[in-house]
Amino acid sequence: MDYLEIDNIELNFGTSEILKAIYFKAEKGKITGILGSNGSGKTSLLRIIFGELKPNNKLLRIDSKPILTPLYKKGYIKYLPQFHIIPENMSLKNGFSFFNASFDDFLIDFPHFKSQQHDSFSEFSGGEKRLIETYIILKSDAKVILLDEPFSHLAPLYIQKIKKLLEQEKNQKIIIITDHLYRDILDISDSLYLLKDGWSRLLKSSEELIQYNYINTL
Amino acid sequence: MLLALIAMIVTTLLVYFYNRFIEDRKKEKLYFYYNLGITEFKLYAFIFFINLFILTITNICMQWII
Repeated sequence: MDYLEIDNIELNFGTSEILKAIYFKAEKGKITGILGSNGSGKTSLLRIIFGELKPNNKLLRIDSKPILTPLYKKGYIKYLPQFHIIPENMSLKNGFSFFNASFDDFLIDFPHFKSQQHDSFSEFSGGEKRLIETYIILKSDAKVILLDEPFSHLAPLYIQKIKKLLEQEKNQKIIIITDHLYRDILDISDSLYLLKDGWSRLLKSSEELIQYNYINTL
Repeated sequence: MLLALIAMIVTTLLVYFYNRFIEDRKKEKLYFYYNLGITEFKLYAFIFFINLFILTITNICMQWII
């Protein structure tokens, strides 16, 4: 599995058109970033790729082959949504085993979690949960990784570590990421899309973000 | 046994509709299962059959005791 393409998306919520002319391509070996203002359809696009949200129309291809079954049913995609997904009563170590991620590797990067390996998720702070879930999803055995605002509520040092992990994992996985912390997205993305008015634009330079009124200054 | 089975089907449906339309309208709790490749249907079917198994065992035990 080397690349994923999606186009012909039509998504309406009631009378409002959320996505109407999207072409999107993500490749293995590259981190694909998505930027866009609130309500531009970033999360909807990730949910459509994941297969949980059904639009009016879409065409999803992997390595040029059309995929009709929702990707999550095939088991080779993992999605980190904006909210916490690991059940509150599950222990830290069990969370890792469910996603086939190595807890020992996690302890190499974050050794201070060793004493908390049997604690349930309810005992961790919001930022810690975010870090753990991002790590688990990123290090899982999935071939496609979707990350929706992974840097939210994370301390700067944790953001640096996650960015480092992204750089390591991108060689084996197709990684798609979105966040409002656009500087971090600009920093790690190898290709970058902007969603605006239901359209997607592949950006060639960060200056185009100003041109399309996403930001005022870099 | 038949009455218990009907009660269980009704309860499963009630739990489903409660979760779907009141408790978890955005399906946030389901994303853990989606990530494991488990659909909503599979999840409720699994819970139903676990309950059916417990019900059957309880029924057999009760008949044996009586």
